[in-house]
Order: sequence, then structure tokens, then C-alpha cells
Amino acid sequence: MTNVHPEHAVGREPRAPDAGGAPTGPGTVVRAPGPQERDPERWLRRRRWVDRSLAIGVPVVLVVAWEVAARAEWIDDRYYASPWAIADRAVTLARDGDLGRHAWASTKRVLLGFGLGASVGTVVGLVLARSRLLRAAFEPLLHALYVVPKLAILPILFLIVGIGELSKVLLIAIAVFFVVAISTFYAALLTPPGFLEVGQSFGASRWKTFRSITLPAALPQITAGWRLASGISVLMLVGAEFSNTNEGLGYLVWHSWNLFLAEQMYVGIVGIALLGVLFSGVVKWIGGRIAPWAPKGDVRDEVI
Amino acid sequence: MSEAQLPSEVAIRARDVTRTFRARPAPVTALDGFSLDIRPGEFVCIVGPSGCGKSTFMRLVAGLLRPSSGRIELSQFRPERPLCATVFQDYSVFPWRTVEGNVRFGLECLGVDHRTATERARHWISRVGLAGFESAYPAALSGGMKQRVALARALVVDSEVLLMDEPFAALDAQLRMLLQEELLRIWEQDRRTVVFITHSLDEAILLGDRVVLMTARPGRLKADIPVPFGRPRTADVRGSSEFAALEQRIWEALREEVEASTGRPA
Repeated sequence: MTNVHPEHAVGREPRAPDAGGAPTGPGTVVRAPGPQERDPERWLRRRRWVDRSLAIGVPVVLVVAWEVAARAEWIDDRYYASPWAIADRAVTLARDGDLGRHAWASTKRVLLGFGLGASVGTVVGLVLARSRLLRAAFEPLLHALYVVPKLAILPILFLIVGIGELSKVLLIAIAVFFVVAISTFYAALLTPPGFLEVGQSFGASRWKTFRSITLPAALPQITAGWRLASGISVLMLVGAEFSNTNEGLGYLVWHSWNLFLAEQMYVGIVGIALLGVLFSGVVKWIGGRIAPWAPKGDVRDEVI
Repeated sequence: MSEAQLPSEVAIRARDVTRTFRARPAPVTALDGFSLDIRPGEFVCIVGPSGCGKSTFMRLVAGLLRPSSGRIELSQFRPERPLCATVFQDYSVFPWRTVEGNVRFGLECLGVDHRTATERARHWISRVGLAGFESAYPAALSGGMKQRVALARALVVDSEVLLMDEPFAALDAQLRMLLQEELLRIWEQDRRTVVFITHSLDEAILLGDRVVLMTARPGRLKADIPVPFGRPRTADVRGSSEFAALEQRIWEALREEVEASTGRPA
């Protein structure tokens, strides 16, 4: 049978006005090929081109507007440095090796913190979903701790592990842990019963059921939780770097602010933004690799 | 897209319709040069092996897909009515809406006022035998009841054309027979144009004025067989020898296509 889900079949193509069967006027309604059907490759290329141009064009336009506003002195460039001045400052910092040092320090913290938090969180979420007793024991606790603002526990972390790298990595890991654990938990809890019954009927062991049904069924949502947590890890990074360190992009922002170096501060802010975009892109890519069946929400091959 | 009028004795006209899907490793042609005329008020059943493009054709008629080439024209006799309503095979009843909410859906889309919509929805809910279940959620219903909800949801909008994609395929045999008879009764009252896709030859002959047979993929027209039984028709025709003979005849034609589609030698 050719059961094609509508969203797979036509993406979000603009539908003919008669597609829903709404009244259009007396006469004949025609279903004929549109541009998409006449040359699907060209249509797709064009569409990708439009999407990409928008993704790049809109930020570029905004930056140009900012630059123009700064040059025309509509905005005070002591607070809102012009993009050109920021770029100039970034180049200088990069030449000195400072920018690289700060960026690497931040990247390392995010990678370690996220890796630790996401792996422990995923395992804990899965275990809680599969074990009734552990769920009963720890689910309320998980939710109670989840709502404690993580930055608020930074002083406690300083007390326990000292003010070094570990406190920063742990702060990120803890924030990531809760988001990942909770999203994984619900994902694994909501395995469609029909799939579980297939496993049961074939006499699948507990482990087999977990590995071949529960886990893959939950993976698309688990990876979505990772993506959410990847952004949170960068948010926490900046908070952690505002104190007790002398490197990292967050430090760069805070330090520059204290010295009233607006351009340098913006270099740090832009750097953090780029780190966030890159990192969530990487996490998304990894998610797509390990759960290739997950719906992607963009045009893909029509299946028949 | 209103153009030159179709002759009034044609409700749906498909001409050289081809539909290709992008797929890996190679594009798949589901429908290839398919042509068909359907008269107003005609009940046409389409049968063919799995993957022959039956559903693709239906989705093209419904406007859910557009053809890769060729065209399909539909006469709109009464522009105030929606043109098409579709009953899908399964998973199409919204779990987050009650029975009444599901049946109302099409009316809401048409902007029917709340009270009228409720009235019409309730009317059709009882016509398909679900009175008393208006506020039940689909999760609490059996498969057959869900399919009745889907049926009522399509019927309630009073479209000119009713498209049904294996609506009873997921049901057990007894329920299927019951719903077939109900559909016959309901259809008899207003005789709207129906395109009905099925795997069951028995079902096709019982319900249809014509049985259209399609080839294995890529789907082409293989045979167009009129059903000789008159209307109003009841399930009793199943007992006649002509019924069995017709079923046999269609099966023989279909058999080689099924074998072709499964890669077995004919």
C-alpha cells in the first residue's frame, strides 16, 4: 500500500486553494502538476537556496543596520560598539592568542560538563523509567532538585571541590543532568504499549526489550533533550565564568566590562553566541546520526 | 483554479496521470499514465496489488498531492459544498478530540456556526451508530468505532465526492460486513460520488458500480469492470452465482499483477 503521511509527501508546499475541498466557485477544479512536480530537483534547490539566503541574509542585514546606526551616531558607541570596531578588536585579540585561549577554556568546560551531565542524565532517566521502585524513590527528589536555580549552588560547589576547573565543569554538568534526566525519563516512560507487546509476544528479555524497543523508541526525544541541554550548558558556562577564573569567554565579558572596554566585551558576547550555535549544531548532528529515523521537520525524501 | 467546464456527465476525469516519488536509491513511479472517468453519483472501487498507486491516485484526487504530469479534473456542481472528503485507513482520528470533536472538525474548518455544527455532528454520530459516545475519547473506543468516527467526520461535511482509502481494512471481518452494509444504506440516501480503495474483491463488488483494476507498480489501468447488480443493493447479492463468478473473473485478472508485484513468476 502506498501509505504516505501527508507531511512526508508534500512537505509544507503551498497547497492549491482547492486542496481542502473548500468551495471555490462553480466549474471544474483541476489537479495539475505545479512547479514542484514539473522539476522537483530545481524546486528543491531553489527552496534550499531561499532558506539559506534567509538564514545568512537576515543576520547580515541586522549587523549592517547596527554598523550604520553606530556610524551615524544614532547609538552611543561607548555602550554599543560598532560591529566593525568589534571585529577589529577580535582580530587583535586573536593575534595575541588571547581569544583562542579564552575560547578553548570555555569549549573545554562546555564539552566536559555537557558530556558528564548528558551521559549520567540519560542513564538515570532510563533507569528511573524502567524501575518502578527507583522511580517511586527518586522521581519527587529529581523534580524538587530540578527547580533549584543551579547558579545558586555554585558557592556550595566552591566549598566542596574548590574554586578550580572542577567547580565550573560540575555546575554545567548538574544543570545539563536535570534537563536530560527528566526529558529522557518521560521519553522512556511513554513507549507506545503496542511496541512493548510485540516484544512480549516474542518473549524478549528485559534487556532485549530495553535495548531494542524502549531505548530506540525514546531516542528521538532523548536527543531533543540533549539539544535543549546544549544551550543550557552554554548559559551556565557564562555564569560560572563570571567569578573565580581568569580565562574563558564569560571571564572576557566580565573583565572587559569592569575595565569599560565595550568592544572587547562584545567580542566575548559574540564568541559565546558562536560557541552556543556551533555546539548545539554538533549535538543536533550527533542526534541525527544516532536516531536517523526521527522526524526532522524539513524536506526529505518522499517515501512510498 | 476554475477552467473550462467538464461535461456534466463527468465528475472526475483523470488524464495520463503520472506521479513519481523521490526515494532512495531511485525515484519510484507510483502511477504511470493513468486515465479514468467517473460519473456523478457513481460508486467506483479501485483494486490492485500492494504498492500499485491506488492510494496515490486517491491522494491526487483529494489534492493532498499533485501529479508529476497529466491532470485530474473534478466537476464542482454545487460550489457551496466542499468538494472532497476523505476517510483514511487508520490513525486519522485525533486522539485529543472527543468523538463529537472529531466529527465537528470539518465543519469548524468550513466555519459552520457552533450550534449547527453540534447538531449535524450529533446527527451523523447517531447515523453511524455511535449515539451515546459523543463525549468519549478515541482511546476508549474499539477499532471499529474509531473507523465509524472517521466515516462520520467525512460524511458530515456533505462533500460532493467521498474518497475512501481502505476504510475497513483494519477491521475484523464481521465488523467489516456490518459497516459495508451501513455504508450502502447511507450512500443510497444521497448517492454521492465515491472513490473507494480496497484490497477486498468481495467488498469492491458488493459496494461498487464499477471495479477498476490496476496493474502492479507502476500503476496503470488494467481493467474496468461494470458490476451488474442493481440498486438499492443489499449484502444478499453475495449469495448469487453471478457474484462468485465475477469475483473469480476479477481475481484471475488481478492474480498475475499480484504475482508480478511480489516478484513471483506468473
